[in-house]
Amino acid sequence: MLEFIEKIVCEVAGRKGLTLDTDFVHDLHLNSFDIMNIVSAIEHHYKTRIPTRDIWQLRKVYQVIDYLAAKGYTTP
Amino acid sequence: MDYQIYVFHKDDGLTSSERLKRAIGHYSGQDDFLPAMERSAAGKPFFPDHPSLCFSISHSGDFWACAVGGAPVGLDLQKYQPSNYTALSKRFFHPAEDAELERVQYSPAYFFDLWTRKESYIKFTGRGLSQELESFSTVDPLPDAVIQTLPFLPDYSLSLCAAKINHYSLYHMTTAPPEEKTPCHKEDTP
Repeated sequence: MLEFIEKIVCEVAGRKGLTLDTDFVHDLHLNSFDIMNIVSAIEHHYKTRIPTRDIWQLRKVYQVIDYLAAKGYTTP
Repeated sequence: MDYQIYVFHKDDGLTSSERLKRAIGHYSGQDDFLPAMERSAAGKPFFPDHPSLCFSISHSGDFWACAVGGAPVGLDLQKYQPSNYTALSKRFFHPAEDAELERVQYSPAYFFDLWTRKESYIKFTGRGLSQELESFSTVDPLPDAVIQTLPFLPDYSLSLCAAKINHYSLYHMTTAPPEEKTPCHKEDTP
């Protein structure tokens, strides 16, 4: 899943070298437009919807992976 | 309410904190004045010991910007970036906003005007992304705020949101040589 998130982040925002602890804002300096593009790509891939009230709590890569796992998405 | 907007180039060699200190110092008339800062539960930074000193920071592309005033304010700056504007609009914009965008064939300039209007509003309210973006429209009057989309550079949108905006001034801050006071170029409300 880490590789999957990294692929989306690279395609959307051109950032590489993610780890599970990477913080999207503090480490990658992404702004809200970048983050919404990433969310939109994940939603499109899994045909799901992530409420925006949940998005601001997903600050690090591992939190996104855990969030998707809780929704039953454990494989890319 | 009057607001001052300070714009810095990201290549100025300053940290975000140093830029904020210069902006607050210029606004307050006190050099090197930067009160202790805290963040609300939704992540909005504020000065707990100076509740009437309000600010909002945004950065995109080559620029870092900060609005300062005596009442809550939201500022958002966004450089145009390629994306699927239609998909993003239908996902994150209010139906009234999407209809306006569709009318102009999802023009990037209008898309980013609306994007910064929405972002400036959620920064003003302080609720951040805990507020569903598609739940409110910035092309209709808002119950608690006004939004002004300001003239800036080509390929950028800049919006300011507050309960009331009487006047704003925009300062282009430039890095001064050591020992000299930071100069700035001021633009008043058109």
